[in-house]
Amino acid sequence: MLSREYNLRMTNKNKIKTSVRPLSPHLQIYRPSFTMMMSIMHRISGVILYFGSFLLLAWYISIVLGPEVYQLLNTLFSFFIIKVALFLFTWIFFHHLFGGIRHFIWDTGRGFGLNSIEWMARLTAILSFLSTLIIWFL
Amino acid sequence: MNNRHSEGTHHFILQRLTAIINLFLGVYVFNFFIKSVEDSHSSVIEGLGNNFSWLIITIFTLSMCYHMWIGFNHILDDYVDEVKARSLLGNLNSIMVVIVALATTLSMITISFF
Repeated sequence: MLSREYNLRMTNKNKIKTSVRPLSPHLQIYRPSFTMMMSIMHRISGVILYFGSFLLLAWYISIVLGPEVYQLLNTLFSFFIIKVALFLFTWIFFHHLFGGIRHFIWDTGRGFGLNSIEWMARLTAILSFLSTLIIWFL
Repeated sequence: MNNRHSEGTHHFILQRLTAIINLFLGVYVFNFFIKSVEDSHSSVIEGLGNNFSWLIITIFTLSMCYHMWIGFNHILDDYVDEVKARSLLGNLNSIMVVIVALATTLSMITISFF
């Protein structure tokens, strides 16, 4: 049974500065598993893509600003380390894409068996890497 | 609750709708970006004119912006409990998304029409 104070805080949560929410067991509690990592990666990749959208925006704007600015950005893109970053950025994009497809499959109510969850996670990793290679080198 | 859908259901549906758009257009845009990132200025502008690439980029960016606006708001909901910080970051999220959407649309229109 919950204490009276807890109930009061829960029902009046709009009146206090911090919303008190019940916590479920989280990262420190569970033993890390591959499927769990892939699930976490979906969120992390989303955040990286969020900030990466500035990269695409910078490219679009440099095209508008003319050949000199565009050439400046192109020089930046030609550095090896930036190339590697762009490659990883593409991989992150495909990781999020295939993770999304996994969610679409789950939305239909299919693929919840332990075996299929494990295999879909593996396929996400494999297909995202293959797609990145295809876009970069074909 | 007066709406037919609650906010959560509304976001659930729109997150998937925008995901479908991103799925198809995103691959096209990423492919275009990676393939032409080292091309000359004039050939990139020519490429943007082919196959309505500028329009595809614009539609993709608008859909992507809505998708990432919902996504980032959910992350804030999950990890930021303090109401003031939550609403500040939520506003920053909105500003960021509007900047990306507007700037990309204006850039694409400028490139293709002027």
